[in-house]
Amino acid sequence: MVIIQQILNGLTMGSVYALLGVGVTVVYKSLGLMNVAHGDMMMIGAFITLLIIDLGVPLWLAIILGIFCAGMLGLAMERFIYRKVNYGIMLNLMIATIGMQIVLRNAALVLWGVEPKAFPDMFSKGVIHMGPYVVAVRSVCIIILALCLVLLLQLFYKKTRIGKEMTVAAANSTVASMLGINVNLTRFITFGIGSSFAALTGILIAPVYFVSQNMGAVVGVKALAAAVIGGFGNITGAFYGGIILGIVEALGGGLISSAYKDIISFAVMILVLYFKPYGLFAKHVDQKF
Amino acid sequence: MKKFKHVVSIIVLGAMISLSACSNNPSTNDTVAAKPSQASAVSAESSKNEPDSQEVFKIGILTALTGQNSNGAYPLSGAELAINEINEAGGIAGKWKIEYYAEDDENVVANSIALSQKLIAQEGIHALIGAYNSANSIAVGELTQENEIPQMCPASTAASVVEQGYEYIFRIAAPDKIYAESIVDYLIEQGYESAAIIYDSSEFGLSGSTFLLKYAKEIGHEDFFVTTEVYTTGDRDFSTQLTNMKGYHPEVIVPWGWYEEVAPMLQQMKQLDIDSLVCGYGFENDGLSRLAGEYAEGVMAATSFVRLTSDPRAAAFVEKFEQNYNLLATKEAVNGYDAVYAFAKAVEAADSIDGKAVAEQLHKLHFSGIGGEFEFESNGEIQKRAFMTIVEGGLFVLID
Repeated sequence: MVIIQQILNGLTMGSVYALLGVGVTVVYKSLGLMNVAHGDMMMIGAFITLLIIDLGVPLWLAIILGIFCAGMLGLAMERFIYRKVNYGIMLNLMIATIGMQIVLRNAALVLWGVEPKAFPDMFSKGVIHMGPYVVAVRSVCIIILALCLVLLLQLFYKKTRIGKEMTVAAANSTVASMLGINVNLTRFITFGIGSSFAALTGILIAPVYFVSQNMGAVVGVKALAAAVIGGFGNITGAFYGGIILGIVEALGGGLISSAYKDIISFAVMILVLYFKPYGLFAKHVDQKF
Repeated sequence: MKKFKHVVSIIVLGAMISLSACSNNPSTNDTVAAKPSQASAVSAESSKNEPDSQEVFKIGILTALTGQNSNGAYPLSGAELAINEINEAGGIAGKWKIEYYAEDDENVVANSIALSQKLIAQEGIHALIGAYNSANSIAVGELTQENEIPQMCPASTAASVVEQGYEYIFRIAAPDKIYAESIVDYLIEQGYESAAIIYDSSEFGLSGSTFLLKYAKEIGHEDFFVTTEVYTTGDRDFSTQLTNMKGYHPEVIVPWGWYEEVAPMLQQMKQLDIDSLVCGYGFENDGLSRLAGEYAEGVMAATSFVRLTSDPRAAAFVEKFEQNYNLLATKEAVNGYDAVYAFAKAVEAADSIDGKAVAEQLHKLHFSGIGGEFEFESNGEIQKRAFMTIVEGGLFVLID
């Protein structure tokens, strides 16, 4: 009985990890770049939206503007920072993202201080009762939203021209540019999408997590774990990876001990990698999508 | 050209090495290294008492200003207020002016150690107020012990802080034991029969949970606490722990942790249909209501200082503090303020700023501060009273 409730609890956290994991994967797919600063992009997105709300803008508009601005920030980061780093060398890119992480966190610290800030709720605080089990309305909304976004992304990559170009550019950038695809543009757009996703996730969890400069720290790492479990480079894999991670964490915390919740999630990640190094849902390496 | 560059770089390198060697004062290096030799400590003491340091009593203030659960601004501001007051009145006993050096350890133990070393070696402090959290204070305690620098903790409440055998550490914050006992006493007196503890996995939370369970057993209510749950600092989702606790149907939930975690916990409790009373410690800060809003109403907490007080001296402090700083007066602010005055009184009694003499006087001190009248026990522990408060209209008010 408790197990079912814990699974429901896990779905909530899981969808957050899933959304973030998908964002990280989008960037990895196109750039080969593992963005360690993804959690912090989420944090900045939430702060920017909060700033807009404080200016008196209605919530729904502030959210749209916030996501847009975060996307712009992501675009700027790609254009002025990451592009300077040679995209062929992954280590350099990772170090650049680690540096970005430090910059983002400390910028938030300087601009907004250290105390966490409340964020207005865009969902009702209500709960749905299914027999003896309870699930928050917010959780259901987040899960549905995550699913829709993943489907939209898949459609984007498979059906639109830009999406298909991005797929080719990711597979082999040299061949892509020979085919007349503007590889820089595809990378540019990818970063915009990744950052927007991160900002959206931040906005969704901000009412519960509160907005603070380290809100992206733990969740960001778990998102990377989710992406890894799901098969790095596989969007739907990352989605499922996130959900699975959330559920395993909740079950572990419920059945074993809540003290070991975090250890359990990372132990699971290690186990998965041990048995399936390319992740649970990875297709063969040359069919990354 | 290549040879010229080589020569230049060797010269620059040589200059850097010799300059850095020069700036190292050999005697202060000895005291900071982990060699607890009485002889070297004493010789370092005398080298610090140079003519100009006789007029200045240097206090280091080490707190957590940034990082997780960092409310160091409160004791820092309280101490600053006291220091300014004393200096304006002409210094300690009219003889010693106070200079202070504030550092932020970001609630990271490694930083606490490094910054204390800096304060001791570079600034040459005579006393330390800090650190903020228990784990950090214990780590720093080893250094203050070796360097014979009296250390006063304005906010570390875990029992282990005074159990390390250090003679230079004094705790001016009421220890966890007192809060745990007053919470258990209050709940049992009010007729509650079952409770669940949910505590932070840090030294602070662990200490609180241990005392709650121990005291309940001591007074013959061994099965008062039906279960305990743990969470990590920085967690925001407690649905797992709350679901576990719900199964035991506790009448009271006792959180022992900081407000950043307890605030979302309150909302999630409502969502999971948990209507137990909430009464605990560690989160009695206006931040709780700011974040949790309506969910904070009716929440109880133990404290050693009530802001809305009828005591005229304390009320005057609250007014002055809140006028000068954009913060509400909390017990940590009071402790920072009282710590400075306690040091001042000890320096006056010892008629010296020598660490050993000051520490000796602190052990004998009978002190009347904003936080009450108290003495330090031989291990640096303090005895204070705790009060139960409840959130009404966003503020913690005393329960009569």
